[in-house]
Amino acid sequence: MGAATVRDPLTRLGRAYLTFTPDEDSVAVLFDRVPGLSRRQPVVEQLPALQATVAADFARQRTVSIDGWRLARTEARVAALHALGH
Amino acid sequence: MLVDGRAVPDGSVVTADLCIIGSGAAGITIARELAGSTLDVVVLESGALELDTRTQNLYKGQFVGQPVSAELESTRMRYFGGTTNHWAGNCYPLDPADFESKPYVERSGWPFSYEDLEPYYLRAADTCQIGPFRFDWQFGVEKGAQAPPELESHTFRGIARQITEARFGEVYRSTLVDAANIRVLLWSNVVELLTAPDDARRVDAVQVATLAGPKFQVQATAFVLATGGIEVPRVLLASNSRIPKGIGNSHDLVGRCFADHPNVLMALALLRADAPYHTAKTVLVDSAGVPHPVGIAMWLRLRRRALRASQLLSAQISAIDPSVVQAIGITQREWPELFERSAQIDALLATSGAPTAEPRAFLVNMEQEPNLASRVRLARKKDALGMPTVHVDWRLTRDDRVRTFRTARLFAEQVARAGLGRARVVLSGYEAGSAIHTDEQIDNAALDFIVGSNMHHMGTARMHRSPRQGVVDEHCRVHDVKNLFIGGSAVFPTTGASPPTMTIVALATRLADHLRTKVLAA
Ligand SMILES: Cc1cc2nc3c(=O)[nH]c(=O)nc-3n(C[C@H](O)[C@H](O)[C@H](O)COP(=O)(O)OP(=O)(O)OC[C@H]3O[C@@H](n4cnc5c(N)ncnc54)[C@H](O)[C@@H]3O)c2cc1C
Repeated sequence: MGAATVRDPLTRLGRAYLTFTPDEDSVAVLFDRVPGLSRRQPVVEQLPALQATVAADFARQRTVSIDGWRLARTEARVAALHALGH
Repeated sequence: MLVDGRAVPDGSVVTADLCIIGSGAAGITIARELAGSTLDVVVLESGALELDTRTQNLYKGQFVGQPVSAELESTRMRYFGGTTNHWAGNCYPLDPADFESKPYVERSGWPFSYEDLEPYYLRAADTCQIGPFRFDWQFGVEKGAQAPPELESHTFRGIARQITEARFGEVYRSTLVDAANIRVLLWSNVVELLTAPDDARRVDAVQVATLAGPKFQVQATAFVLATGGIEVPRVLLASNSRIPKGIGNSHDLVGRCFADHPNVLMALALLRADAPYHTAKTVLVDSAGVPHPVGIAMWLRLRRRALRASQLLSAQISAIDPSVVQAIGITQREWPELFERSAQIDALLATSGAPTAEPRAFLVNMEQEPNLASRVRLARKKDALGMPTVHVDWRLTRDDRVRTFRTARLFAEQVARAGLGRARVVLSGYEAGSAIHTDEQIDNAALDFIVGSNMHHMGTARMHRSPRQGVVDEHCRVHDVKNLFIGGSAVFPTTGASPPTMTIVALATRLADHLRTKVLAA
């Protein structure tokens, strides 16, 4: 299914991230790069708990551009995990 | 005194100490400063006291470079009061950093500093009829204007602009008409500056033509050409019967470095619901005992250190209403599509339980770098008085576009860093922009997004101490000519991102002092 036909907006966001970061197109790599994320709970539900990490990303310019949006790298990775079914 | 130029006998010569050509912001300021002095001043104005279509049509010409949605003749006004008859009244001086030369921009900087011009800015504030000379964020807050304070950061500085209702022609008409030493000649078009037959370095008369027929000359000790940023080079270049390249043009600089403030719909932002949106406030200020309304609204500027660190130029960011989007080059039909994309971010932000507000749009007015290829040229076509019309070849450099992109990105980062929400760089609907993820991709991208014009015409008779690099010297005198001065934004060697008129008025005030105390003192 192409990104454009995906209804869920977060899935679209996550897929877009993976298209230009193919080396992270792996659940293991993504979990490894977002410390503190549990595999037992949907990742999206854990985003509020990651707010400090997200803020630190913005403070240190660990940001990415997806479809023009400036996002924290952590947010993008969580969206990618969501797109990969977590 | 008001004089109808059409009634001046054909072939006659009018004499004066000073002849000011044009009665816009610059011309009126100089005349007003000299009202009541011992100098005999003649102001030559092409139009009358109201708009006249035939006269306005003398401004017809063509944009041949960067597309502009307006016709050339509608971007300025050709009657008493000039373009202030329909300006928006935004007043803000140039930033001190705008006067400095930037190592990464060729030809940047002014021959003097902000501090040198500040005393004249104070007087300009009075002439423009704004409130106290304050433009800081705190002033805006004190007056009740709103904007999210979190946008102030080490990258951006919040400022308050003042919006005057003063139309120079209305406000200063009686000052000029009542002054015993001033004659304002209406319906009087300068078609050529005439250098003395025995001295090409001195203008001894100007040739005036009227649409009704009579032609006459004005002789004066000194002349100020204050006809606006496009008409200044037109008159200089068309003054070619004795000097074929035109007056002031020995180094081929007249008309070059034409600049505007390109505006771009820069970003859409989803802001926290509790973040105050940019709202203006109208307050009453006192000017010479008469209270009058002045608007106060917030803008964001790049800080000096951010400019230097990222090799950027001045930028001015404001929040805009979607209804004005059409005016800046993006259609209403496209607008909902842009907003639709925000659903993704909405979903992201909603995960943290933060309620998001309506998407907001932000516009940036950019400074463009001095560019010799961006220029005003004479065209073959002539106007009703036989004067060549102009081609305005407005151009942006690739660096101008890259800087716009980077500025938008800095803004989007600041929105997120401040915890206000998230922002998307949209660049007037530039779709290819959404595929730019890395700095290398910026270098390879076409960046051919739409830019709008602010109708601020600048740079065409630039100021520099050296005649090789400037048309006028630091006193606004044409290098090649002893008694010809230029008023208006044509002289700006670096434009900054501020609306130009307050600086035009400050420079005109300074020029009036110079004329009175030095040039015409004897
Ligand atoms: C829609 C619009 C909104 C604007 N809003 C703002 C704003 O918010 N803030 C800001 O700072 N600036 C704004 N500007 C720009 C501002 O209007 C100009 O910077 C300012 O008016 C320039 O002053 P000037 O005296 O140099 O030229 P003008 O005001 O254009 O005056 C030139 C005068 O010369 C006369 N003239 C021209 N040719 C001849 C000739 N051959 N012989 C005799 N007379 C001649 C004209 O009739 C006119 O009276 C705006 C401009 C536009 C178009």
